[in-house]
Amino acid sequence: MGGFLIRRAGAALVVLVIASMLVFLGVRAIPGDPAIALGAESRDPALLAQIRHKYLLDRPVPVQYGHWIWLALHGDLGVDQRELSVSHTIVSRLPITLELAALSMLLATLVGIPAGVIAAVRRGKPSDHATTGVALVGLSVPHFWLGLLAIIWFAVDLHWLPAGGYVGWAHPLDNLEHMIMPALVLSAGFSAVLMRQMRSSMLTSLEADYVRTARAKGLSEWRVVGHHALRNSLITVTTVMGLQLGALISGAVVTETVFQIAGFGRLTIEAVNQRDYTLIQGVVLVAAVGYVVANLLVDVVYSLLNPRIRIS
Amino acid sequence: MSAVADPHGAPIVDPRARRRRLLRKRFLRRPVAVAGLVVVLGFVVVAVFAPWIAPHTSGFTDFDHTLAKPGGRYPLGTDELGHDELSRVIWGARSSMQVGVLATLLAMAIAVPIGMVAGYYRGWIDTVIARATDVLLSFPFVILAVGLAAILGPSLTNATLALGIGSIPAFIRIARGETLALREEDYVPAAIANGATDRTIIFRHILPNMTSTLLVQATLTIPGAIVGEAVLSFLGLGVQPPQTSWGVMLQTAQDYLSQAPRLAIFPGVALVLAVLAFNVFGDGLRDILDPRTTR
Repeated sequence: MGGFLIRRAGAALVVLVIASMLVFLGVRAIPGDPAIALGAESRDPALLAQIRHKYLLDRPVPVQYGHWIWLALHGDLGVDQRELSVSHTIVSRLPITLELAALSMLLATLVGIPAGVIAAVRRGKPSDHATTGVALVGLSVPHFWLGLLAIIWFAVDLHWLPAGGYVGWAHPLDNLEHMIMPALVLSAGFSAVLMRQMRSSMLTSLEADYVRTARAKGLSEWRVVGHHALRNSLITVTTVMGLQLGALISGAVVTETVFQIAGFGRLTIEAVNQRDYTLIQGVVLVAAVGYVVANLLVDVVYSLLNPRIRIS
Repeated sequence: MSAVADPHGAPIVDPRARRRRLLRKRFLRRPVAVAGLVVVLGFVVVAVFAPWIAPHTSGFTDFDHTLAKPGGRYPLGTDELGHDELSRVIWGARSSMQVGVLATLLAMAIAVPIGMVAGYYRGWIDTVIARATDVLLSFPFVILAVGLAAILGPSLTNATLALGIGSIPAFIRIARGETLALREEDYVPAAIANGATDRTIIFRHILPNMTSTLLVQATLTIPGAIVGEAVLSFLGLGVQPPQTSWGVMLQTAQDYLSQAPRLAIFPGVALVLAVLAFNVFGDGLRDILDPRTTR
């Protein structure tokens, strides 16, 4: 177990180091003088020289990279065009996106897993076809269009929910009222994937020998499905959850734009549109770190659930 | 097709023709997949013949009839600048298909040779390529595409490049995995005994045997790229007006959700229909080409 964890963590670390290099070099591949960008488009030679010195832009690239990483490890990602600390901006925006992501994962689990189980148990029957069909549509409808539709129906026509914006946790009910529509929209694709995965792994489990044994022992169908088959199927679903994290981050970018939520995803687009290089660099680095760490956690959970993985 | 008689009089059917006929029969037994193919072909025809099918050019504006309701001269109405919605949806199909197909071809052209080299030679080169793929996969797709679009600048071509590059890792993984498995097949040592070079083995023996896997992955990558283009354009990082695409149309529709919700409906329906068609067609193709998934 320990060896497996160390190997996995080591691989994740290598990936992160290379990813950070790519981010660093990628931002430097953007045409234009970074000193001017860092100096909020100022052309004052004294200021530019000062910035070049401060950010070591007059030093070789490997030194610059080392310095950047050193500061990043201490939580300093530099300042953006408005002289605001990039780390502070990210830390202030991140909780909003995390709330959105957590809420949609919760909704997706509540919908996707039971739907998959029902479809597998009632394989070939109308309820199976209906759930499978809905899941296929859920996979094919892009988040941002679903978001627009939801706004048209629930905000413009029915006046049930606000069309967008964000209210802090100080007002829990208001917060939920603003978050429920974006979370539902973001969860749609995720629950479709979960449902499909759950269905196919349940079908495999239901044909396994131990399920036949359980039935032969005379256990109730409820216990066979809920206790024996479901448990083993959940292992596969954990991996899918990990693989879907990327889609969740991507979806958050779009969903936050549609619903005008000033979260981390929206920040990414703002940074790109304003060509704010320090901000782009910081945001992409944080996204990559979060993604890799989350995947590592999923691997750990997976190995806890499934001992066979640790041996191979 | 080529049914020649052997000396004993029994017809020998070309095995390839037989396989093709078998696949066609299996495919036709899946009405959903067939419907997907029909819709896909429909979109391709619309995209290719857009200049002849669309009533107006994509830049056409009628300032006397802005935000017109559907009917009469404009079957789907007009937008805030008096663009004919129907024409714009048709021209949008052209952008979408172009991005979808070109991005997928680009990804395949780069990724397949890399993946095959990794899988065929193994050793350190495989380790390097596999790790590099992991790194690329460590960026969520949209973040990667947004980052690339930021570096390259917004345009249809750059969106295609960004989405193509973003699809590379998945293709490398598949080509590598397939090559790893196929190089163990008996025909590889046979070819080596015949004096075949590595290049011949890779391109003449291994590549043809993985075409069906690549084809399925391509059919499922195209809709991803189509949505990707719509997302990038929606975020202002893809197609720039006056050129149009479904993403651009949805972006402008956002400001008129209460006055003219139909502006968000039509391009969205077209987008979902195209993506859904590619997905069910791809699923069907995978089912008939790989009997293992037929459950």
